[in-house]
Amino acid sequence: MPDDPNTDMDLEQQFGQLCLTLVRRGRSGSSDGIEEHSSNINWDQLGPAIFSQGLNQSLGHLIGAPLHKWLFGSVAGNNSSDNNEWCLTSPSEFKVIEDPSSLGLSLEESRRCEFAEVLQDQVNAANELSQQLTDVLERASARFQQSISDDKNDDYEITSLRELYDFWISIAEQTYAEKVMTVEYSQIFGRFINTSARMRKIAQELGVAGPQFASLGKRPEPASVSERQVDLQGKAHALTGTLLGDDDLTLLITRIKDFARKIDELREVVQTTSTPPNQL
Amino acid sequence: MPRICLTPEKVSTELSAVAGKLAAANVTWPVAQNVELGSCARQEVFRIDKVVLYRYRPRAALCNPVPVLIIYALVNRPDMIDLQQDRSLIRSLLDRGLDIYLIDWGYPDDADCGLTLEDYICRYVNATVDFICDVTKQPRINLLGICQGGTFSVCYSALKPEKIRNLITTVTPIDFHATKDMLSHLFRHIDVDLLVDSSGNISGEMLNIIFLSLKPFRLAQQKYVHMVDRLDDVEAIQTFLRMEKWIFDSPALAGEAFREFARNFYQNNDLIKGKVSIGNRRVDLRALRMPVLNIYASNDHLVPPPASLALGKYVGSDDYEVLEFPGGHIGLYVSLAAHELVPGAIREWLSLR
Repeated sequence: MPDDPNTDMDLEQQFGQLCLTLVRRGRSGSSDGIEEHSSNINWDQLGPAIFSQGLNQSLGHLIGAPLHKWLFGSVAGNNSSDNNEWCLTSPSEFKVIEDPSSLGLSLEESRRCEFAEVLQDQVNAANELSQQLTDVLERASARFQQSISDDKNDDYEITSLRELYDFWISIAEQTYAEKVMTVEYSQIFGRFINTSARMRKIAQELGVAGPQFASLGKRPEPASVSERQVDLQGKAHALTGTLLGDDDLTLLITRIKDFARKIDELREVVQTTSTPPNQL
Repeated sequence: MPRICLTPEKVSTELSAVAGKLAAANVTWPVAQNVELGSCARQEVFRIDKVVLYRYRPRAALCNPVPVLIIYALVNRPDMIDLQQDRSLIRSLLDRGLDIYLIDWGYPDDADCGLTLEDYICRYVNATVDFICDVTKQPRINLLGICQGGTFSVCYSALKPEKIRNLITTVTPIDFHATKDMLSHLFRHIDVDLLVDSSGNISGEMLNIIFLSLKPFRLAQQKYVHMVDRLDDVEAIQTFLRMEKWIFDSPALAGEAFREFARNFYQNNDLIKGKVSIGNRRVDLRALRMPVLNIYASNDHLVPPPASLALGKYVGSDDYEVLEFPGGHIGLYVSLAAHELVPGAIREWLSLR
């Protein structure tokens, strides 16, 4: 379309008319139609200038009023009607936004605290287990010393370092077995495994965002796929069993196999008869 | 109590001998270190998911047309029963004219964490049994279970007795609360659900640590000290390294299957109580009416003899026999003494049934 000065002026006039109407509507709350206003407006005097003025005022209200409220509270001169439409957030209202729990932002933080607690439990359990093993070594050492220093019953002689070492191993292993078979050790061992597993579980849950972000998937995904696969295989297996239990189907399958065998035999015959004699 | 009779001369002689062994390792170790497991030829004949069924090539004329299916545990790899030429249960059975099949469970990964005992027993084992019956034209087969695989064999035979001609269990736990069962004792206070929910599959490394922790002084120390004595023998080093290779080649355990087995068998001891259900079917040990041979190891620290011998109290069969092997859990398969006793006994027992 060729540039037409008259066309451009028309567009400017229409734009200015529209802006003025919107500003008036905003102030009065009126929902009067644009056409009613446009007939009374001298658009040569309006247009972009009016729009800019209106926009500047609006921005001033938007930026200025909330800051006035937050920083200076209720100050004389700040309660002008110009600020009313922009005073949507008071300090008390903003306090609500400040509290992240309302937006769920503290969830990961609470899980981190839980992880720290479980980590501490796991460290405690590891220390307990370690203490048990230390006890084994102390008892075994005491028994070993007692055994080699007690010369009342000399069953046999130890004549090499290897035999001495093997004797120590037998005592240590015996002492260890006695310790392991206690209820206390079983509980401590179980506690160690359980806290380690719990720690791992929370760590995986906390680390969900990372793998998800990298599109690597989470542990539940292969598990659910595996469950689905197993379920489908089970259904296929059951369906196969049902089908094979069908006598008619079994007979049909047998007949198909016989037919296939006959086709193979016929093919061999055809190949044999079609092959030139000197190639047989 | 022993009397210490060490003299400076004896100690010096002993240390010199050790130094000599260590020096010999410079020559023998480079030759011995690359070892492979397995001495018998076999062929993959059937596969379902990651589970593979192998048929071993016969080494002698078949003396028994009924095939033997070996079901190994989910823990560790079945390579141990065919470790090397002179320590192979499979080779010994093949030499005695038996037709041997083996289930290889493979290496479960995260996609298998949902596999249950029903999958292992009712789908995989059942599919392989049906396949073997089909190809051998035998209506029933002989089942040989190893450790946890023996427990699986017992469950399967109780659920599908019509498919099993004879059942052989070796170092198989039946009563999981038997005395001196250290493994069961350690499991008592573990939250199995939490463990599986946090881990998915149970890693092979974790299982190794648990098994080594049953005898830490012997298995983590003494074994390696004694190995010094064999550093001048290439074959001895290779045997040692094959065992090490097998021990530390540990597949993960599928999470759900572990959950069921640990909770229902180890913690609740439901098998002898008749409360184990595989799928929707209750496992009743009295349904074991086929001939049963129960082989156990008298020095077994993983499956104490009472845990295995309990089977005799619950089977419904009138033909139940027990064979004691004077050794340990693994020794029953890899020791030279075991190969003098066990394969021949199995062959003899089967020939009469």
